Amino acid sequence: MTARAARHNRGAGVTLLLMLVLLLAELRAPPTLMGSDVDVPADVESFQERVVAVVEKTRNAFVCVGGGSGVIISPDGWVVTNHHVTGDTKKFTLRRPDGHRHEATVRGFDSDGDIALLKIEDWLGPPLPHVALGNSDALVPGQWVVALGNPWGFAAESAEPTVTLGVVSALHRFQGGYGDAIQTDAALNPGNSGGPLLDLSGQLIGINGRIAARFGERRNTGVGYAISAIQIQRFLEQLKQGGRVLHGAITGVVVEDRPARESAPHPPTGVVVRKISEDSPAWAAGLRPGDEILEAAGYPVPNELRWQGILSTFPRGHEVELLVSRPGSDQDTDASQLTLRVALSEPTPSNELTPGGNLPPAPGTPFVGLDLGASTLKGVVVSGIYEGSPADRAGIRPGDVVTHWNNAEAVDRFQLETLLSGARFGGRVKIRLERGQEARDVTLQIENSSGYQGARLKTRPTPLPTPPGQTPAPTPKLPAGPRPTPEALGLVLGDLDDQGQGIVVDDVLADRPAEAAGFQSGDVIVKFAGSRPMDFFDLDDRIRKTSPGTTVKVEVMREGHRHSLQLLIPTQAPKEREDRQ
Amino acid sequence: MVSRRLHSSRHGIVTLEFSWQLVAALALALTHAAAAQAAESPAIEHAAKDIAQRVGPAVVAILEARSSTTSAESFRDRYWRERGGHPGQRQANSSRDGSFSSGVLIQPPTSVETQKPWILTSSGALPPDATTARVVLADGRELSATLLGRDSPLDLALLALDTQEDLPSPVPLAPPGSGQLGAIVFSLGNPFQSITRDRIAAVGRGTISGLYPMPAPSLTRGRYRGAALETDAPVNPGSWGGPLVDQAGRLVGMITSSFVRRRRLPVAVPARLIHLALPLLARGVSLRAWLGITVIEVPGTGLLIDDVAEGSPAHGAGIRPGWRLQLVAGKPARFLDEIEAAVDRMSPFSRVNLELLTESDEQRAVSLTSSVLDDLGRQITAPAAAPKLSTPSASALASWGRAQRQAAAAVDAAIVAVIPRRGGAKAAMTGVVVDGAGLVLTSLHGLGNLPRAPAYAALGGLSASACDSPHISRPIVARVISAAGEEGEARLLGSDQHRDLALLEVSTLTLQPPFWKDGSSLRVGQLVVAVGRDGSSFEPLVNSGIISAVGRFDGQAIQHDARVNRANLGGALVSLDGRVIGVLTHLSPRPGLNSGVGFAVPVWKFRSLLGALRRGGELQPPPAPWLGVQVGQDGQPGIPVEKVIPDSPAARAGLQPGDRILAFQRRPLASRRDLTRALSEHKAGDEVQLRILSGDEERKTLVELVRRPKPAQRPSGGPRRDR
Repeated sequence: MTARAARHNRGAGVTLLLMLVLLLAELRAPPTLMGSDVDVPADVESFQERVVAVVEKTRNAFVCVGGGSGVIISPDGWVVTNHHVTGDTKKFTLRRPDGHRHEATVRGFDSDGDIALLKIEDWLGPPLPHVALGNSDALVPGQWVVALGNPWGFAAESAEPTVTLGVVSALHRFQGGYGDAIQTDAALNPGNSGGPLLDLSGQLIGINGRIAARFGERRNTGVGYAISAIQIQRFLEQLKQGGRVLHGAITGVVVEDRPARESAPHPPTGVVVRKISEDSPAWAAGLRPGDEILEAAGYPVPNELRWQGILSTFPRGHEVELLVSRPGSDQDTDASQLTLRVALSEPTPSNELTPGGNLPPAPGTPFVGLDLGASTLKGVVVSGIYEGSPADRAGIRPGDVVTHWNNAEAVDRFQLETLLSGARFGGRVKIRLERGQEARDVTLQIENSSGYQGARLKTRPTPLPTPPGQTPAPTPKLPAGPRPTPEALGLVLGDLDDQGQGIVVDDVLADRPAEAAGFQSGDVIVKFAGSRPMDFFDLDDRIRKTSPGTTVKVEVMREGHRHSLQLLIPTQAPKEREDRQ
Repeated sequence: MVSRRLHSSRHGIVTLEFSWQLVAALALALTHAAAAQAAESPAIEHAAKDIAQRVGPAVVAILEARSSTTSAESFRDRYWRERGGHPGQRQANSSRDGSFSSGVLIQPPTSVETQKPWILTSSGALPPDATTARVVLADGRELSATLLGRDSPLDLALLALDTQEDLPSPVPLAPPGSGQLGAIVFSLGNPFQSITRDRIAAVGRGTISGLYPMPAPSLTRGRYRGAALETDAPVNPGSWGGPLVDQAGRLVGMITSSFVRRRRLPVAVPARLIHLALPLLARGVSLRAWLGITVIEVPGTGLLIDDVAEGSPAHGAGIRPGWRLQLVAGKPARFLDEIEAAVDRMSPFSRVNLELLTESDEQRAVSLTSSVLDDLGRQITAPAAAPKLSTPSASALASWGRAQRQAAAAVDAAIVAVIPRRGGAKAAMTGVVVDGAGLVLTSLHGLGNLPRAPAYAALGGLSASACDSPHISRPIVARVISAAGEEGEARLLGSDQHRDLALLEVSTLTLQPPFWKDGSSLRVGQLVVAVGRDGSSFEPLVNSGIISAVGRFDGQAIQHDARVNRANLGGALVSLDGRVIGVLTHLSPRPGLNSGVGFAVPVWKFRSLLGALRRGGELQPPPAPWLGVQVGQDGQPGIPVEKVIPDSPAARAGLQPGDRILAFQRRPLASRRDLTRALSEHKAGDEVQLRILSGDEERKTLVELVRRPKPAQRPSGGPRRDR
């Protein structure tokens, strides 16, 4: 009725309506039930000011590094980003939101911890805008954080960062190389890598580097991981000195979690030393089997993952303090607590590493002569062989892949290092190797590394390919080239059919792959690449995700019969729509 | 109110001078109010920490009964699973993560006497035949629990812990009327095994972003069919069964794994249903949907309604004895046990569609809301949903939630649901009223493939007044449903490919535009909400965020981190003072749904376009600039010129094959991409400076970029690789 009245009005007097519209616009008469403008409560306003202030304070310290992000951390131009952002590239032009450009060189990197340190070369100008490294250990879950970054490359045109707000979701999460990750729900997406995570005082508390995926898509799902600032701080001096850094570990020790208990742990429990090599630094420091490690470097050690995580936040060579509870000698004596100091493996004066990224074997440790490198899906690549060692005598060559170690699947060099360090001298280890397509078993005697100090390391003449295991969760490249669309393939898709079996093909365009595959209009697509499309959008999404050059099996229902069609996704899809940007 | 007025663009300096005293008084009053609030509850800055600290310990992980998967798992799989996944295997452990879910220690209602601590979780977290479960606390304890009862349609399961020793304090249930739209909430749980691996319940912040009945099953995923409390707080594999808590740390919902497809945002069981279900679950009884009809099977005739209970939903919907049941929820009703099973699967208080034949063989389609009977056979009426506006609360987070709700309410009348002809309810999205004469702006992308009738393309030159004449050739592209529930057909007036805008006209509805925000006051970090309208229930949708950047796409768009998906696409980005900043459009296909990278075309950008769009304009992206060179890949220094197109800007500037372009507008070039990028920042007609190295000589030259000529005008040869 109102509609008819309105139409009548318009018909009767356009002028009147125009006047009315003008009047409305001029007076800004309340158009809604709620009346006019809404007051923003003072506490919300002050919180908003806080967030805005952080952005204003820190935005000029943000830089675009390649397709990723980075942040200036000192007035003389040290810049932190992810190692997976820099990759092997050494020189970058950094771009700042205020329009400045800086030439910077990668000075040091940490491929395990996914950090690269760059230096803006020969900076003689005024102090650069920068953010100070904060104390990530003082964070609390639920604390507000702000992330700056270059997701999806949108900052490319202006270097203007994308600012997202979130909270600290969890702390001390163990994510492989990210041994002490900060989990946040601030929106992080591909391209945010290397960007700063800031607290509301504008201090750098972490470098965003990874996200967890849901729905099989690499995009924000509310779980992002940042490398803690405290970890970066501990490696900073070494990174500045150049080259590559190594993470700490206590070798020759096998620890395990206390079995899960029903009763509340008072006081909190730690991890128990199950095995320890008598030649290890930890043994020398006084650690013994059966000891319960309660704290490491002042952090509680609730489980084995956290144990690994804590140690990995320190560089090799650093000395950590362990708080250990030792069971009494019999039932009557109480457990005693003692503090031990253990150096995280030996520092190397030359800082020279083997091709596998290892330090030369420390004297007095179990040794077979393998220099292990990257992990592949098959196992661990042998990057070098010490001349005259048991491995050399057994005919193992650089480039072979260790697939099994005493019948256990080989996963990475740290695993094998640990297994070896727990073995005794004179013992034997059975190794299964793959060379090309061939597999064979060899048995090696475990010797003392003291006899091989200074032995020559035989390596492959050709440089090793970049191992896939060394770059954790690489930021996927943005899809290049035209993406296939239903229209490009010649399919005009409709809705779910009446029976809900699949998606109706409304029309098939001439001279397109769908026609060649035998599609007819009226077909109902019931299976696309092995599963049923849920709806129009699902199918549309899936078609767009197909890789050019592949053939997709599509099942259609036609007049009550099921047909299987082979749809070729062309490499150069006819361009239907320009990507808007 | 006065303070907001001051920022209004039209009430200029006069007002400002006029009310200085008022401002001061108001500021003083606000400061006092803030101080009073700070004394009672933590400021927003600390409120979330407080929630995590209080609720976190009560959140548990639920382990599925170990089955054969453990032994079948290879060492390598286990190794990577325990270490958070193989770097090269993204999906390797996602299914295994799903075998862990979340739960929460809850405070039993006072009406129920219980000795044992209760844990609420998702029914889907437990195997169908489970009687017990293992529960992991964040302090590392693994406890056994007994299943008291489960309610599959509501996705609820209640466990009793076998121990009472030293447990964290349970989470209280929020009152049934709480959980309002726009309120700040927190999701807690065990996503990606945060509790089971790293001994910490992960907390995420969000907003109650929608309150609606679950739409038809074809539009949803998951089995939950009750009333939905939707949130944009993070929910991930392992989060299901975890709590959604309000600003006071009370349980407002239990997170399910269900969601509406066009939203892809998690849905929780609202507290009011949990309140109803808990006493029954404690006795092992689940809430059953009740329609109030007794059906008998008559051979040859089908299913006959034998009796309709007085006051029942069926009675209210006008169903009478003697009618025959034909379709239940779209499925043919043939046998009695089928019907019983169908009703058993229904959630209480969910909508169900029946098709019946009356005694006079008339076809009747009836839609009714199922009800519930208690143990004594008395009908329980559906508890009231949260009122639209809350009672004032002292908490700072509550005032944020209230501000979001008020901002959404202020623009609500101007937000319409847009149901495209193409795609229907699945593709339902949102539009923003921009003019009292029934003009609605929405996303062009969301409308799907549009009919391109030559007739309407030819209307380009018509004047604005001519547009008011009958719209014979304007295609109807969508149905529009207003806040008041009125429906009208929308014709497409004009479109803007570049900014993804479509201007619709709904001449049959009286629609009112919102207040608009003035661009000058916008700052990065400012709090905003994205407001949409659900295409099935027509309820408002409110997602919170901040301004992420102000000048994206050459200053055409505002970037924000509120979740944008198919349902609120075309909706409004609103500042907390209740003014529309812009229209949410799909400016780039890259970020996708709900990624926290969303765009809005601000009002000060589209305002000037409205005239052209009304006249049927089809705006295209500005022409790409063209230099007229083909360049090689390798650099150092600069990039080598391989070919110069005759009569191009490059040729006019004297570039020769073999030259190297060192810099573009004083910006050094290292790769072909650098040149492409540099070009993309300019438009045809711009004059730019190039630094060229020819032989050993370095020189600078000015080049005027032109529009790329059409293929026919260009010398033949090769694909378009020149720049």
